[in-house]
Amino acid sequence: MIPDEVYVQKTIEGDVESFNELVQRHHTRIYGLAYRMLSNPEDAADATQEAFLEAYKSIKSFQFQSKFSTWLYRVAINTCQQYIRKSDSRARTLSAYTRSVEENDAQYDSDCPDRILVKSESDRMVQEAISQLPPKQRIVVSLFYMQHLKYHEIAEVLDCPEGTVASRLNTAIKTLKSKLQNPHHL
Amino acid sequence: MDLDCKRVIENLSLHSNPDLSHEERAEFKIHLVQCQSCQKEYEEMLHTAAVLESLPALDPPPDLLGRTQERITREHRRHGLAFFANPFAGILRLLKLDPPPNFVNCTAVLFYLMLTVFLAKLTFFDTTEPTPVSTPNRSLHPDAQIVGVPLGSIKATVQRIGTEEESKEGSTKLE
Ligand SMILES: [Zn+2]
Repeated sequence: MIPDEVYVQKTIEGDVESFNELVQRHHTRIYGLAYRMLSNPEDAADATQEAFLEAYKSIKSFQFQSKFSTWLYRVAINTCQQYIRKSDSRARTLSAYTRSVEENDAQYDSDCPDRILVKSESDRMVQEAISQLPPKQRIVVSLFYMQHLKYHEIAEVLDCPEGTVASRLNTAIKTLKSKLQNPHHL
Repeated sequence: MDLDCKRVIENLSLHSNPDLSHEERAEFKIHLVQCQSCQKEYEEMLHTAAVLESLPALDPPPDLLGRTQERITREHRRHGLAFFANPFAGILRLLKLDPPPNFVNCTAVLFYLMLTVFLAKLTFFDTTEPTPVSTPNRSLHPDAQIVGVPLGSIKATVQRIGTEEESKEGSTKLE
């Protein structure tokens, strides 16, 4: 497979289709990250678009010293943080998430509706617990557990030491554990 | 919960805790093997991590890719537009047309050129055109022909008509 960086170079040279190839490659994971950070499908989709647009506009600032995906995560995280600051997504979080889970479940095979119901209910609780974490912990949880990045990659994305990544993860796990054990505190 | 348990639980970590020394780590491990309540705590943390890992991968809305690519392409074209061509691009967008930026730029240049010529003409040249002499008479009989007549003969005819009129006037006065 042609490496991302080749497409980045072509984009810098003015080929917009190369950048659209990068959008094709990365939009699912950027959407996943945005969803876990914003807990709302509409905001996540908007933030994904914004993040790619921002990445396109500032593509010349990519230094080719890190992987393109690392740089893109950084751009996306900045965009999501702006969303968290300015949007009222928290208020919309729960209803929107419930709706999207229900829509998703409707697509699955309906052989065992009970299991699906239980699973989606627990997913909803986990997502809500995540949405109550401080943004910095939300980011590391999402990058480590859902995007499956390694410590050093997360450290590079966030420009912080690996120890900071580990301690944020530990704190987040402990908080989530107690929240999930006492769901009425959600 | 004894003091040891409290310390161990505080420092329990799934992710290597850089603040712990090797000795502390070894000490906690030994405690964990022996103490059931701390083991339970640790297992619950593992369970929480497993729950996080088992969250379903999220499918983006099916139109997200297309919408994003479209927006990037639009941004690319907008970037290729000269500043003076922006109003044209806006009009074309309203008409749901999306020609390449170079085309819009050329059209804009052409339009501004024509506008300049028009304004210059309006300002520096008199636009009230004199009635052309050779305009054919529209009420001319279809069989009539326009023929060239020497200027001298016209003058002679006019003079002749003039003297005839005078003599007529003279004769009516006499009557
Ligand atoms: Zn103990």
